[in-house]
Amino acid sequence: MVTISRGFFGHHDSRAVDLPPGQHLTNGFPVLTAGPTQLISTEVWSFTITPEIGDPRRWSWEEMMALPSEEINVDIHCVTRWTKLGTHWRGVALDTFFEDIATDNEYAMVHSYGGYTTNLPLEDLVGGKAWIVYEYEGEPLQVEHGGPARLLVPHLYFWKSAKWVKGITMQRFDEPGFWEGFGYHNYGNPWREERYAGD
Amino acid sequence: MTDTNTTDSSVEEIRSVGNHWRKATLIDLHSQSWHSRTLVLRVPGWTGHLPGQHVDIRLTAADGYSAQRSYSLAEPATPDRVAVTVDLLPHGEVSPYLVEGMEIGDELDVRGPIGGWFVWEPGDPSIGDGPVLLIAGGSGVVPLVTMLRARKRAGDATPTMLVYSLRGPRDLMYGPELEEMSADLSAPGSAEVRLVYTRKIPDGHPRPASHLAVEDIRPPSAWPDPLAARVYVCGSSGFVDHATRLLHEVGYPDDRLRTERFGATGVDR
Repeated sequence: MVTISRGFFGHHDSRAVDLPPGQHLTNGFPVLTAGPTQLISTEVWSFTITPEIGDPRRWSWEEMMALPSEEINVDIHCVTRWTKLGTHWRGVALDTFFEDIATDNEYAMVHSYGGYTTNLPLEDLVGGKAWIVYEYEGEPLQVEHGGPARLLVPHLYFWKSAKWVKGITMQRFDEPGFWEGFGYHNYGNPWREERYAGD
Repeated sequence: MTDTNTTDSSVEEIRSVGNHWRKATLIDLHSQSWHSRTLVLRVPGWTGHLPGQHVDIRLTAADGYSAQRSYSLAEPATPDRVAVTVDLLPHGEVSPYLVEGMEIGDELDVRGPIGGWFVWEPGDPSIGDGPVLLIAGGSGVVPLVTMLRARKRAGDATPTMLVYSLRGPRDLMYGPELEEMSADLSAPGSAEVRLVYTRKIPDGHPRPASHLAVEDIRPPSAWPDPLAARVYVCGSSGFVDHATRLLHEVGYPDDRLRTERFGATGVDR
């Protein structure tokens, strides 16, 4: 059921023809964070993958910078309805981090400095679909956007792209992360408009 | 981003969002400042919400084009009723219609309530006897006033202070209500209110215009505890970061802070 609002016309932005349903374009880069901005220096930053067996694998900032990086040019979609077209990032594909990781678990929990978490299936993190990024538009990633490094998973709503990322824990079973536990959708595909639980 | 170990009893209730769109009819309007107004909508089937939660609003044009936005709920829960206070965003797509275009009897669609983190229920066990500190930047005052209204309605006696940062007198939302609420601090439902004008002060205002400072968020002398059990901060991202730095300076740990940011750093179309 759709209600027509008398006197509403809208902008009909011609650049917005191919947006996911319910999204609109933004030229800025809005910030959405559940809590205080985390100030993490590259000296103390590290990224750890914890599989179900064997030791966790940890990368320091220098070790990450020694890994092959790539440029990523993608559109990003926030569940609060803004979409930003053509964003440019530099970072390391999660495929590279997962090369040496042996896991049979299909689910991942992403952890951030400050305690934020978000859950994804492993298959959404590998196969050229996700990166740890540290540059945005040619500059070091600013702290309010998750610097020094954040996860980038552009095919899902942007709350899955955890700021101030610190590690990934492999899990046998899927569990909700922070926003997923507060009524947001477990998977978050913007093209199917999976905003809230039950969508 | 905040400690996820702190959950509260409300989580289960709000886990499932009211998942479908409901028709809403505008039944009342109040101007709040020179660029904002409160819209009261009759929404059959709306079962309620917690102070601090949002509602999604969908406008659809006659040609089928539609636009959606989220707004903080502006009143504590009443069955079949939703209120939002909307600030005009120049060149915006949705806010000009809501602030300047919509008339009594006009309709739109709503969905919700949404969000379960930035909420305050009177009696929340993790807050206990309080105190509670509310810090607003601009239209970030809306969900915080909803909390104050819910507290007053419930007769909740948690010591509470609102610190409200705004540019000048014409930007003041809820002016008369805040004045009444803070006039007699011994009255039930009252709360200390500090207005922090950043650019222009009204005649006779004791505090000169300047940005929010540490003194502005220091506890009132009447508080039993120098630090609030819970602090809610709502405003632009820059304001929230500024307020958070001041709160750290006063000695607040992150796990007492709940923040909500809105708006774009650039022009939001």
